[in-house]
Amino acid sequence: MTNFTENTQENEVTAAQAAVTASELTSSGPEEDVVISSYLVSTFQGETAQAAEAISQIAGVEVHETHDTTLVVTIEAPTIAASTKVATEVNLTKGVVTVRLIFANFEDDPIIKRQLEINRAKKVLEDELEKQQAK
Amino acid sequence: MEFSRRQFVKTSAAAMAGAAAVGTLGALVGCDDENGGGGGGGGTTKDGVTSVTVCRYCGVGCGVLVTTVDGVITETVGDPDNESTLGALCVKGMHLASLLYCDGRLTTPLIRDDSSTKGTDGGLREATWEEALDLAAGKLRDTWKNDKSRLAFWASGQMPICEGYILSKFWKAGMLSNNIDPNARLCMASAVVAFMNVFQTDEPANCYNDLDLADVFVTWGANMYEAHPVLYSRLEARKNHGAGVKHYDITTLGTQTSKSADKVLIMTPGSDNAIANAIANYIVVNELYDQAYIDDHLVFKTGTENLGNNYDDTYDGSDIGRAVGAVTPCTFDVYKERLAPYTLEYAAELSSVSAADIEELAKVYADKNTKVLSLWTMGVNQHNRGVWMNHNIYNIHLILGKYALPGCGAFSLTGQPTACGTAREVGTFAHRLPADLVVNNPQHRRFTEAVWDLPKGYLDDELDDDDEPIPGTGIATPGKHTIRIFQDISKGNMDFLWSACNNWAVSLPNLTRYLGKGDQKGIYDTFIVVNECYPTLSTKYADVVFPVAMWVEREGAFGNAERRTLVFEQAVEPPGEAMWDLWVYLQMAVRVLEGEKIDGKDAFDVLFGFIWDKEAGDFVGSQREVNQRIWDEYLIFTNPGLKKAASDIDLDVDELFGTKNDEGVYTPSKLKMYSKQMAPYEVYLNSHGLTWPVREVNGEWLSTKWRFCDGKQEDGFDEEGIKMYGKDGKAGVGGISYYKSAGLKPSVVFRPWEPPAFMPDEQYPFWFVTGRLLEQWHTGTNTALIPALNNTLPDSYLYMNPGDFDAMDLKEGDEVVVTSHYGTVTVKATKQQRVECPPGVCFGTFFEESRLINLVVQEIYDPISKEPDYKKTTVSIVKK
Repeated sequence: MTNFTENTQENEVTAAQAAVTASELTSSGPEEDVVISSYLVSTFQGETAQAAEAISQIAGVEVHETHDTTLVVTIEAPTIAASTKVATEVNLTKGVVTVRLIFANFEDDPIIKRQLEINRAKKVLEDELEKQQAK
Repeated sequence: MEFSRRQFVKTSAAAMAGAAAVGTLGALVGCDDENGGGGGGGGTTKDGVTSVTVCRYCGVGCGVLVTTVDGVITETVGDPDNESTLGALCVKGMHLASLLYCDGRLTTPLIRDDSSTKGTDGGLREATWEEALDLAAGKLRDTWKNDKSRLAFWASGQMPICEGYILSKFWKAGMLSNNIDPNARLCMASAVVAFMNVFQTDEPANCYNDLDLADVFVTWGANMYEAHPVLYSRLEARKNHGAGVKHYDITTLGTQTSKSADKVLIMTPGSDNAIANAIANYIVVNELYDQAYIDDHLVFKTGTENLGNNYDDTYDGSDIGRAVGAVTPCTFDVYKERLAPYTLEYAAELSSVSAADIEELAKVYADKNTKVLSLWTMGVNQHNRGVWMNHNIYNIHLILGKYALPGCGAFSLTGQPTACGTAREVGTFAHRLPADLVVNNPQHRRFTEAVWDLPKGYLDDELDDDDEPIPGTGIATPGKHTIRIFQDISKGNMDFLWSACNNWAVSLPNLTRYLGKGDQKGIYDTFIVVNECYPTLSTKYADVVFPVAMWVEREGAFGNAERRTLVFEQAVEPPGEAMWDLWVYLQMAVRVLEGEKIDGKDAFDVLFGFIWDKEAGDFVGSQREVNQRIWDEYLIFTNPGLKKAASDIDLDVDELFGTKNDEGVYTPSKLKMYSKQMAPYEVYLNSHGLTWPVREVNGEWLSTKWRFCDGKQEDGFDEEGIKMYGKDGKAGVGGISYYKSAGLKPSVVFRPWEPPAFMPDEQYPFWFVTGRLLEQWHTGTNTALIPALNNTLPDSYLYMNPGDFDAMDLKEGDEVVVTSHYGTVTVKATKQQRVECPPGVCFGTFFEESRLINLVVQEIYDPISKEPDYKKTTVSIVKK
């Protein structure tokens, strides 16, 4: 039987690629762009505590609760891209079986912010046009 | 984000996940709209609007609630009220919103004036809708009138139900053409054919709840971790919490799914039929089968064998090609005799799986006290004997009496989000009509005519002077399947192709041929129309591109792998001039059918007047109203009592389709159309998806979780179906009634092992297996746009066995040239162990357009289902 539970070379390489640098998450003040998501992280029996400890060391990750072998985790990152990198690193952590996304707020992600700006500007123009037509 | 809001959102996020962990997420995010829909203020945003939707990716069909602010989706949360997934999503769900807003989104129609620019990055210019529609419709109409065998539509298992329904009606009733086939031909056709062969009804009898109940999981060629991640989570949760729950993984290469398996059986590609037969043989030799169940429920058959393979285009028309589907009744004793050669040792020799492991698995299956759930998908379906392999899995379960029971059964997993709901249930296949009906059955055509208000016989083929049907004049003869369509395009035998919700230029096998990179250049002469949201390789070959809405930019409905139909609300507007696909279909139909008559009346009005106002040139009402009207008509197919003409044919009231015995006693042919009963549209609007058959009991519409299994309807059992159609209204042995099967008895068909079309040899020594990995969906038309997913899986690597890799003196990321009988491609090689290939096997994903691995993939298909075998191309690998 093949043992897949050890971190293989492939996992190490991918984890290195996925690791978020501290600079990407350094808080620069009271207001900053942040994508916030929450996950249920399933762990192997007997490895929950160790997985929780390892995950909580990842920048942007907070372990809130443990329910048997399932961890309740939030991830804060500046963009969807950065957030997914972190989620991948969580997924590759020793002891983790699967990661299920529950919630994601991405109103601060550049792609979403850009679209919000476009829509809001369009709305302003439409309202202005409507006012002029009403006159 | 301002600090206090950040804290609020984070606290909410944690609370939601915590609630999901204990099953109370619904209390936090449950819909407060009085109709059960998204309704009012949503998510963590005061002014947000929440909509009920479903993920647009895989067949799991994860429920999603989206919150919209100022017309933009800013939040997603897994829908706790969707019983398929109970609030869980995978990483792709994180990006559902951003995929609507990526750069390059198509917002205006495009026309190509110079066909020599096909396949290049340029050549398309912006046009008005009128110009594009007039051009495309003109070409379609010309082809239709000149020779309708030369036109085709390539549809999709990602196309919402009502869109697929209207499209199919346009093609089959409007133009009397069966040349419409979906990309589901490439993924589920083998499963569909097997369902119909065995049960005479499509789609699984089991449901996702079985993942919470099984004692043993057996995955056959299914990488659920990557391809059905949320379901895999459920399997793992069951393993983690159930005492002694085990998972056996039967596969040609180690995957992330194998990680958690208790036993991984690595088999030689193509040997699964031998393993399955050895298991069945073990069961019969040791008399572990359920004789009472067999006597009550099963018939036995043999089928045509020595099928060969389609090494050239003449196969379908050959003697063997025309006989592939034939079956002959036999006895259980004959079935046992045919199994006899499949000893454990023989299967071990063919498969490289040890006899001991096969025996262990056989014992697990046969253990009367063990609930076994078999799960499979592309490893079984994309197989030159895929139909047979589907059969062989059912054979094991059926002779043991282990099917359609809670926690116990054979679950064919669907790949795409609505291959079930649209391609299969609506029937956008070359041989099908809605609701399991088929074009070549006269009673089925009469029924369809009744629903569509067509004259009796309208769909039949015309008759020649000898009163013989002329194939292709009506829709009584199946049309061209997918590979045949593209074979004909390559040879210059097709003049018009239209596609939507797919990317054939990347996903088809043997792209060397179909993209004109060999000596067949027909792609450049075929007039091609593509509905798309972003530029793709397919749009690079298009003559006209229609920009269309995606996902929740319109209202629609999907049907997932466990038969759950769900209406997703429109949450945002499509950008620019992008339009609802349905609008495009009707704009084309009104032009193509201009002046045409059905029974003396305007053809377009007969078919579509109930949803389209020709005078106004637009729909008769809102998207909601239009979908409602379409659904009302579609509903008749599974609720024939809504229309007398349909009901009369369903019950064969006029005694036209049955048989009379020697004594003159007539046995009517009853279609049993309620067996797949759907609910009215408003019921779906007020729910978060229901699994059919949906039954109205005491004024409430109730799902069925376990088809054919007796028990209380309110508990998810098929009580009403069995009352309606079971023998004397009752279930048989084991509390089961296979009421849709002929004679109430599914078929156990003996299917032998036959080898793959090609075996590794000196020239092509490797097996090349293609598939998907988690982050990139299909051909990457959506996921490859998203930086996050692209960063995680940026390229389509060739995963190799480390020994093979080192023997070629390769370094990580070195380019290699992969060559097959069909073509050649250059890819980067890796020995990273995300996919653990045995010696002589390699794996690649098909999402990366710049790599285009399907240039080398064989054109070989299952002779019965016509589904290509993407898993067993033989190749050579040479360092570049």
